[in-house]
Amino acid sequence: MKLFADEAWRTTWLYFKESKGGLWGLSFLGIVLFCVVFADLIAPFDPSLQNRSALLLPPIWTEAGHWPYILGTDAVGRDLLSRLIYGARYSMFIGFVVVSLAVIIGTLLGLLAGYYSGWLDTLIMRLMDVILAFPSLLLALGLVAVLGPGLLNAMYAIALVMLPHFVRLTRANVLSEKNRDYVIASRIVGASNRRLMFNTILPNCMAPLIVQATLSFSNAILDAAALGFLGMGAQPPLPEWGAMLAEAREFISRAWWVVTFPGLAILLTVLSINLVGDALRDALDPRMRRS
Amino acid sequence: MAEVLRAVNLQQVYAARQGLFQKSLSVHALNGVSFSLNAGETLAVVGESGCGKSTLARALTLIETPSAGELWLAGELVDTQKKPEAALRQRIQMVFQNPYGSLNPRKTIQQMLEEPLLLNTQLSREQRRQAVSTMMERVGLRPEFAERYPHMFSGGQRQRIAIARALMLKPQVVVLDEPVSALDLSVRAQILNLLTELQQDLGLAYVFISHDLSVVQRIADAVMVMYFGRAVEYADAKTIFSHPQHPYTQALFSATPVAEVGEKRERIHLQGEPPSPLHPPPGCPFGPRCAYVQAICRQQLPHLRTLNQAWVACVRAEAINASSLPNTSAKSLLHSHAPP
Repeated sequence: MKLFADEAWRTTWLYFKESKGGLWGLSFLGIVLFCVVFADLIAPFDPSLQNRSALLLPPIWTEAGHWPYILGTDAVGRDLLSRLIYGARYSMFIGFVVVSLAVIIGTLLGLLAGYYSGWLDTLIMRLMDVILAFPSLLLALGLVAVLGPGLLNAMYAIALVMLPHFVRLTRANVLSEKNRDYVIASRIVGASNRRLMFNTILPNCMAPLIVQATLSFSNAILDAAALGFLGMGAQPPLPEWGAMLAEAREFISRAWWVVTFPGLAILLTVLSINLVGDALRDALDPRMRRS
Repeated sequence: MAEVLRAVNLQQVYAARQGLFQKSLSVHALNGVSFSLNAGETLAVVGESGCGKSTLARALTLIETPSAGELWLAGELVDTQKKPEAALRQRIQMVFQNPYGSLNPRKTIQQMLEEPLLLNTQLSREQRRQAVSTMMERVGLRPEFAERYPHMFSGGQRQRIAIARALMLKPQVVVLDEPVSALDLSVRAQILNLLTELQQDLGLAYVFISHDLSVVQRIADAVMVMYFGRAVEYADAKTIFSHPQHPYTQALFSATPVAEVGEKRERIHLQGEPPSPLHPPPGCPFGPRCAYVQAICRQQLPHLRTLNQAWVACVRAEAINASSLPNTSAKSLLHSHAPP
């Protein structure tokens, strides 16, 4: 089954263009994706190459800064710009994988729970309540401790922690949509349960899911950073943005650039994704379109 | 004409849970409704809110399987416990009350109208497109609108789309659940005209659910008045409008406004509310509100019986008729039934 025909993509783009914020976000994401793909070509240094003679060098536009360390260096003399460019890979990877896992599994479970109420609903929702009952970071920490530290395991753990939000959101929407007349009308003309769930009900529940997914993207990056900081996520010397932030924490008072640039990178990426998510939600909703 | 739909003693029972440790009570939303409908005819089902009209619609279209009773479609007994098959679905379709809720906001008119064909026939994409555009013209919409979304249409146009969708499979019976009550007056007339026209051209049988008696009087061939999940009176339209026999029907008809200046007529004011379906009263369910109630009404449940070319469920119908007859003979239809 094709999710969108070419025609639908074109219309979506037509309406996406209307949103300025969405375009800005998309451009910045384009830059980040460019870094992700061509990191080897554009980064001036190897991200883990240390230079003992250039420790904590400030950015090039300050008095003490000098070429070729454009954004300065960190505490062990690694080029900050190179690390940021390579870090884009990890952060985007974490964001995409975690959010995709949580969205796909969460939507599916929520759809099943909402559509087939009864014991399946009870089972799924009580399981989600169990996950929600733990403080999210603590649960992720525990899971990683069981699975073994590492970026991939941290990602699975974060996806699991995020799952209940998607399940509940989807279920609530499905519950309110499934008894609407248009669903019954589809049923009368013979739509199967699967068609009703995925073709009739799900598209009408997508708007809040898209927004939640974009918001979760930032959370995923931050949670991964937190796990990295606790030694359970990305292991040094991986130049993951959150981990860079955590490593630089002790130098925050004498070297502002080591925390500012990774923080800025996270902020801008997250902001762009949110803007794109907003614009996408509007573009995908026929009701928001001008007739 | 040929009979296309017959319902025999249809019942729909819901379980109402009272609490965790209490026994659940059963609610008879539909309590033994029977009727028969011929091709090209319209049966109007009237009654106040909660009388089981919409439950009847849902049972007839098998959205909910009825708890008991038989349903015959074009002479074939429908297995109500099984999931309805394509052949059956093609014969009975439905139009909903609210055209703002019955159209999927995410689908174009084309997608919505071709869904029945996609699911039930082997037509090619081009054939489906053709069928949709023919049907849109048939219900008075421009075929160019097929790629538009429902929010771009007015209420009347939306209801035309809903009618078109119901007719895509060429059904024999269409259940219309208050199809015009959400529309304003001028649009209402257009939609009613469209429905009448379609009925004549396609030989459709309508089950027309409504609480608007002026609409019913215009469109119905037969009328079934429902109260508390039962039919209290069932007769052809002319008979029932000229001479309503059940006290509830009389009260209902007297409540219909008449557009005549200075026209004074006696209005029967009903006391109280319909009884709680959880605790039905003994005997006649209308008893507690009936002006003619006597001891016998509380003792036995009245069943439909023939009386003056109509079916009436009232043990005292003859006595009531006798007392009100002088008033009814000469006057015009709607305000003929005030008790002396």
